[in-house]
Amino acid sequence: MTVSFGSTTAVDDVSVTLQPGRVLAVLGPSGCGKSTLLRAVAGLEELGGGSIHFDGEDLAGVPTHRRGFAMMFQDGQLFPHLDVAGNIAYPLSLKGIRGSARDEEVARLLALVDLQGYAVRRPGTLSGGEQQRVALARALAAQPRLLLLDEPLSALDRSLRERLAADVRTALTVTHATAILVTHDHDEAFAVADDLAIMRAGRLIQHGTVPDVFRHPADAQTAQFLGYSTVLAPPEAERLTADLPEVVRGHSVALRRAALQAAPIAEPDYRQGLEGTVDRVSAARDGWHLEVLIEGIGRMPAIAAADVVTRVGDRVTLEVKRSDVVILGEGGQRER
Amino acid sequence: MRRRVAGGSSPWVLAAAAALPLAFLAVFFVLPVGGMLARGFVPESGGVDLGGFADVFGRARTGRVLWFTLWTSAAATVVTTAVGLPVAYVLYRLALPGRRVLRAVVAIPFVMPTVVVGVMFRSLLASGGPLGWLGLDGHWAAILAAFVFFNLAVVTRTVGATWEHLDRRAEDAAATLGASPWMVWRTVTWPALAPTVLSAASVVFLFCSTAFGVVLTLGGLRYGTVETEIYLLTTTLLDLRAAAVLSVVQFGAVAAMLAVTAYLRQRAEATQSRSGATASPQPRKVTRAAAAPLVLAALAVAFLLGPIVSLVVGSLRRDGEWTLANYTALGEVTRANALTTTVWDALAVSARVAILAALLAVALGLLVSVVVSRRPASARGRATLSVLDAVFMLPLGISAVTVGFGFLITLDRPPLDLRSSVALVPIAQAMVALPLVVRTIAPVLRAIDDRQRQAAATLGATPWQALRVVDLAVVRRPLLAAIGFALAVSLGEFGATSFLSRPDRPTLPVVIYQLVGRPGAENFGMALAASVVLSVLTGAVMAGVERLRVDSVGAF
Repeated sequence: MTVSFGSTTAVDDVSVTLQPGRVLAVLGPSGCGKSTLLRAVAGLEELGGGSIHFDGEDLAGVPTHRRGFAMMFQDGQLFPHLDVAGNIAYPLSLKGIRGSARDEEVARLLALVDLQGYAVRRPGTLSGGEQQRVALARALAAQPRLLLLDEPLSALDRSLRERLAADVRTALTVTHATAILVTHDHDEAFAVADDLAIMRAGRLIQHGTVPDVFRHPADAQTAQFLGYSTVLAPPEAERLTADLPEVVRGHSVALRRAALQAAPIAEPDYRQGLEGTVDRVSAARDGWHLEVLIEGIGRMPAIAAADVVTRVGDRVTLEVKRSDVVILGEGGQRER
Repeated sequence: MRRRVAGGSSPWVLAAAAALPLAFLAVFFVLPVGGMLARGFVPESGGVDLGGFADVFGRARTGRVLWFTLWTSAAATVVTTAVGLPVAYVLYRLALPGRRVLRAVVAIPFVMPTVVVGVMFRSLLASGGPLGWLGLDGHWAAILAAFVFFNLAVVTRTVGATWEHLDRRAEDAAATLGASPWMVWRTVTWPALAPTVLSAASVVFLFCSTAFGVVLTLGGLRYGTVETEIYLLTTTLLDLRAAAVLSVVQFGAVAAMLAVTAYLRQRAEATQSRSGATASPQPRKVTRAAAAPLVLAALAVAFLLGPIVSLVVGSLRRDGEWTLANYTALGEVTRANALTTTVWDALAVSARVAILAALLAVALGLLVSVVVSRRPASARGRATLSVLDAVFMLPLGISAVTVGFGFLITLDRPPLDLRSSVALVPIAQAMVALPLVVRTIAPVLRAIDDRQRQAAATLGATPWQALRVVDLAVVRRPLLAAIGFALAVSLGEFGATSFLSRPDRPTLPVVIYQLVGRPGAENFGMALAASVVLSVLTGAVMAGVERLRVDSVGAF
C-alpha cells in the first residue's frame, strides 16, 4: 500500500501479511510512517495505491465503522463525558448489547485488565496506565476482527510500560486476538508481538518473526534500532572476531553491550586476546558499563561484572561472547 | 495565606490598573444609566415611586412588545444555531479550498452597522426590490431574517473555533469501535461541542433581544422590541417613567442572561480543557459524505450575500437605470434630502469619532484584560476578579438607548457638562465597544501559562519586564485586532449615537437613518449608496482584522 499527503509519501509501497491469531509489531523511529500505515488499515486515511484485504475481502470503500478493526490510541482517547464503564460499554451499545449482558461483559473486561472497582471513575481521574488499560478493554469490547494498537504504551514511564506490556500480551493471548501494534520501542515490540516489521522513511525494511528479525537484522541501522549498541564495519569486525572459532570476513557485525566482557589483566605480559584501556566507568543494574579504547577498533562499549573493580586508565582484557554478536547481511530476510 | 511572588503582580498594582476603567465605567455608564432610572422612579416631589411598574405592565402594548421581543429572539436563536452548525462544520472542519475567504464572508454581517442591515433588507423586500413580490416589507419575518443574518457569525465563529481544535482522534476512536458517522456525531462530537453551542446560542439570544437599529428600520411602527419601545417612549412620547420601567426590566433580564452566558461559557471552557480540545487543526478531506452540510453552507452563504448584493445593485440604480447618481448625491445637501451635512462630511465625523472611541476602548480594555486574566491564589481574589469580569460585560447588554439617553440627562450640568462636547459620542461608543475588546484580549492573556512569567522571574526579570517579554509578545496581534474590531463597531454604532450626535455633526449611521425616513426614491437610493460606503469601510477594517488571525475576535 501507499499513502500520500500532498507531495509527501508517508507510506511508500509497503506490503505485509498477518496470519490469524498473531500479533504483528510495526517498529520504526517516529515519523517513519508506521502510524499512517495503521490509520490506513483502519480506513482513517485514504490509500494512494495498493489494497488492504482481510480474509480475502478487499476493504476498499468499506468505511471505518464497518471494518471491525478497533483501534487503541497512544493517549487512550477515552471519552471524557463517559465513566470507565460507559467507555467500555460504548462498542457494546453500538452492537445493541444492553442490560445485564452488557454489564457482565463490562465486568469481565474490567477484570481482564485488572481494573475491578473502577467502573464509575471518570477518565480524567485515572493515571496514564489505568487510562490505557481502559482503552484496551474498550477496544477488546468491540470484539474486533483485528485489533490496532497505536503506540499504546509510549506515553507511560518505563517500569509501568514493562509491566503493562506483559499484561497486554496476556490479554491478547487470552482473547486470541489478531493485532497490529505500532511502536518505536523495541522492548515493547518484543514483549507483545509474534512478528516484526521494521519501517524506515515510509519503507518496509524487514519483516519476519520476532526471533528471526532480532537474530538477523537486515542492516546496520536496523540493528541499532533493535538495541544493538555498536555496529562494526568489515575490517574492525574481522579484528574483533579474530579469536573466535569463525572469523567474520567481508561482513559487518552488530554487538550488544554484553558482547564484550571486560576483566582486569592478571599477568601483564601474558597475551589473552583483545585488550583495551578503560575510558569511562558507570554503574548499571547489571554490573558496570564501560567504554574501552581498543587499538585498531576504537571506542567500544563493554560490561564488567559487579564485583570487578576498574578505574579509568586501567588495561583490561575483553572476552567476546559470540551469542551477543550478529553478523549482518547474512541470513537476514531483507526486503527488496 | 501564601503570597505569590514570582510572576504575580501585587494586589495593589492590579487595583491601580483596575481603577481607571472602573472610574470610567462609573462616570460614563453607571451614572447615566442610574440617572435615567432615577428620572423614572423619583418624582419631583421626592421619594421613590414604583407605581410605574403597575401602570406600564397594565398596558396591553407592553405585553405585546415583551412577547414580540421574546419570541422573535427565541426563534432567531433556534434558526441561527441550526444553520450555524453545518456552516461551522464546513468552514472549520473540512479542508475546503478558500475556507479562509468564506470565513471572512460569514463574519461580515456581524460588524455591519445595524442600520445598514435594516436598509439592506428593506432594499431587498421593498415593493420595487428583487424579493418585493414576497410582500414581506414591514413583516416580522424580515426582522427574523435580519437577526439570523446578523448573528450567524456568532455561532459559526464561536462553535467553529472549538470544533476546529477538537481532537479528531476521539471521533476516529469511536469509528474504529464501530460507530457510524451519525453515532460518532451523537455520542462523541456533540457532547464535546454542546456547551459551546449553548454558550453561543445564549449570546445570540442576548443580541437579538436587545437589537435596536435593525428593528427600528425594519419594524416601522408595527413591530417593536423592548429596546425600540424605550426609544419611542423617550424620544416621541416623552414618557420617561414608562421608559425607565422598561429599562429596569431589560436590565434585569440582561443581567440574568449575562449570568447564564457566563456560566455556559465557563462550562464550555471547562469541557474543552478536559477533553484536551487544544489539538492543532486537522481538517478532513471533503468527501461525498459532507454533501448535506456543504449544500446547507452554500445556501447560508447565499443568504448572507443576497442582501449585500441587492444593496450594492440597488445603490447603482435609479429610476430603473444604471447610474452613479446615488453616489454623486452623497456630496450634496438639497432640500429633498434635508440633511445638515453632506454624507462625506458625516463619514469624516464617523471616522474621527470611531478612531477616538477605539483607542479609548482598547486602552481601557487592555487594563481590564490584564486584571481579569490574573489567576490569584486566594479564593477571595478569584471571586473579586469574576465580579470585575461581569461588571465590565454590563455594557454588552444594557440598552444602548438607555446609555445614550442617560448621557443626555446626566452629563448636561456642572461638574460634567459634556452636552456640547465632541467627546460625548466617542466616550459612549467606547463603552459599547469595551466588552468586545475585553472578550478579544482577555482569553489570549488567560491562555498564557503562568509558569512562563515565573520562568522569566527566575531568570531575573522584574514583574514589568516579565509582563513585557511574556504578555506583550503574545498580545500584540490581538491588540491590533481589538483596535480594528472596536473601530468597526464604533463606525456602525447607532443606538447611543442616535441620541448624542449633534445635529450639525451627525455620524454616518445617523445620516443613513435620516435618509431612510425621508420620502422619495432618491433619498432611499442615497441611503443605499451611503450604506455601501459605510459597509466598505467597516468591511475593510474587518478584513484587516481577519488577516491577523486572532481566533477570539467575535467569539463569545
